[in-house]
Amino acid sequence: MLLTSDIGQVFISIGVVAFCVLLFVGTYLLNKKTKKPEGCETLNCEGCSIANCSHHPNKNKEKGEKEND
Amino acid sequence: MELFSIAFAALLGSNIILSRFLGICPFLGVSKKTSNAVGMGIALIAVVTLSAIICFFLDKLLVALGLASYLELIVFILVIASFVQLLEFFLKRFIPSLYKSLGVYLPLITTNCVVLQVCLDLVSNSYNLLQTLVYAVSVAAGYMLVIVIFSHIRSRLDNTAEMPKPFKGNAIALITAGLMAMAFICFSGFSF
Repeated sequence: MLLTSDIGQVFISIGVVAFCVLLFVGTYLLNKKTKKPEGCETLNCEGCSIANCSHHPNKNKEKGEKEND
Repeated sequence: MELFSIAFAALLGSNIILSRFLGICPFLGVSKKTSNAVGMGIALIAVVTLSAIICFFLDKLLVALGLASYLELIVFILVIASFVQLLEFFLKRFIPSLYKSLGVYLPLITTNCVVLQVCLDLVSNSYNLLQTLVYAVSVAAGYMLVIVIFSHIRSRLDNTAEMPKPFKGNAIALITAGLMAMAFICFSGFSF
């Protein structure tokens, strides 16, 4: 009865979205913690000129500079 | 015949790049070299096909819960992003050689709106599982076909010394894309 009411639908919706967000956060952390295979440590993309992208070669240079400081 | 009609329309007749202008950012960004274009195309075929199957079953679940009308978009976005992360983790851990060959193109696919549009299309057209599979593979193959042809043309144009300075780079790339779009219009006249 509660599940078919409007309030029930709202709670189910919030639950579904929360589950999806947690799923994304979980898979993101899982992926981030996994080490890249040998030879793939610095994979860069020079496809476009968006320098803010995390795959742009400039990002690796910035990381290197910070580590040296 | 119906499956062939779906495949032909997705591949050529209403190509996702040249008729619907989706996925333009990677289309222009990753088409400078043919090898990059092929890598992006292969990664896209894998991700689009698998995410379409996931979204097909997810939509059935949302319809059963009575939430399909207003939760589809947000759920599809989150599930596709999670799926790409999971696929990347799986390849890193278990198939490093494939991860190496797909390289950086796998995470870049998260931002490709073609993946989301395929999932929304299969819901709006009420496709069954087989039609979903054919549609997803055809759309991704159509994307790969166009990006590979475009990268060939672009690499030849970039090596042309006679190119006027104002047309160099993205200017001639956009003109080429426009001409390709006009050429592909001829396929939309076919009916089966």
